[in-house]
Amino acid sequence: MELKIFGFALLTGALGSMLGIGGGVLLIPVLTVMLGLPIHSTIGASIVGVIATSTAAGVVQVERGLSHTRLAMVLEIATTLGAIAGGLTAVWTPERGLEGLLALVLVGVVWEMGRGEGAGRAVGPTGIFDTEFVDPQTGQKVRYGICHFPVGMATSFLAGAISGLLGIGGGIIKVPMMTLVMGMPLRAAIATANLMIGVTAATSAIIYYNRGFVQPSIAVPVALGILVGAQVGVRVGGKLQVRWLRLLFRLLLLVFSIQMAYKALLS
Amino acid sequence: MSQPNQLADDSREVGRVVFAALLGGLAFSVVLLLTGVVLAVASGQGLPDEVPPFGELFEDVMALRPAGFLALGLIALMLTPLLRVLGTFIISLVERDWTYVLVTGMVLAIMIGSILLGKG
Repeated sequence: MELKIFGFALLTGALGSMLGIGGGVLLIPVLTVMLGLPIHSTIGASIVGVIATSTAAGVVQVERGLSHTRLAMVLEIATTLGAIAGGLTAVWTPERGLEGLLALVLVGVVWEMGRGEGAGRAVGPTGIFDTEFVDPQTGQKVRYGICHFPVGMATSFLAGAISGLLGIGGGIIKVPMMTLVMGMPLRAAIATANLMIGVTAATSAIIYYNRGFVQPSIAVPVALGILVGAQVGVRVGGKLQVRWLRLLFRLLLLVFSIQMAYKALLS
Repeated sequence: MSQPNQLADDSREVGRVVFAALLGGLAFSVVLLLTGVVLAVASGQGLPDEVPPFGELFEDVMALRPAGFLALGLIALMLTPLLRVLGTFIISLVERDWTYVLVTGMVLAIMIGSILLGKG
């Protein structure tokens, strides 16, 4: 069983990192539907995996100066409060409730991924949280600030709550929020969201751990598998057609959302 | 900087501390987890379904029981982001950057609050 979990975690970790998504959003339905594990345990394991990937990616992004650590820290006030609310709610929510909610979120992710990335327009320096980074692709220095800060705080709370409730990283909410609403450049948004994800996930993970939802037999193969998978994904990702991978990922999520909805409503 | 702004840019120091906290925490936890897995495989029992209570962790590690290493590795991984926030808090104190001390202090307080709330 542990080897199977490790294998699935490795695959979703690789696929996730190629697409710039944590992979938890795919891993939870895979473990729940295909291996029949209880959803509370898969959520507990996934949140540990989310911390592992966020930390590993953070090491690289912080060193390159891509993440806006100050902005991340301010928004983390909202995401961690959300994570506590979500984590405590998850503990008291029956399996079917969580399965139904996950089905809904999966459909949302499928829709969100279809809109393509980079739709936002970076607003440049605004006088609020102004900073700069060197774009690794163009080698140019990009200077930017943010706008609509209160909306960002409110959305961060919501992203934190969903992360704590379902054990996913929530980058799928945070990245569009930062590019579309706050006007950040995509690269900086991804790196900043990633930093926030680690702290948010740790906050609800502590609640899960204390309630016995972090089972070593599931969480350890998940954490190690996702870590190895993400490294593999980074190395082979550039050589593959991301367009087809995205399509495959969305198709998988759609299938799993139907299965989760079926589990929640009929089983 | 064109405009005075309390929450504008990072100091080099903060970036270095965040980097060290993330890398150190991750490396430490992976070593513990791998040790636990090797011990579990060697004992032929597979990975445990439950984590031992906090009070028995140290004893389990000293006795080379896999559950102790695995639980400690998972805890180290979960505390790595907390370590990053703590490091930033301390650096801000040293640099007398009071706005940032307040912000990191609040995040720290919320995270510690989750430890207390989780127990119930």
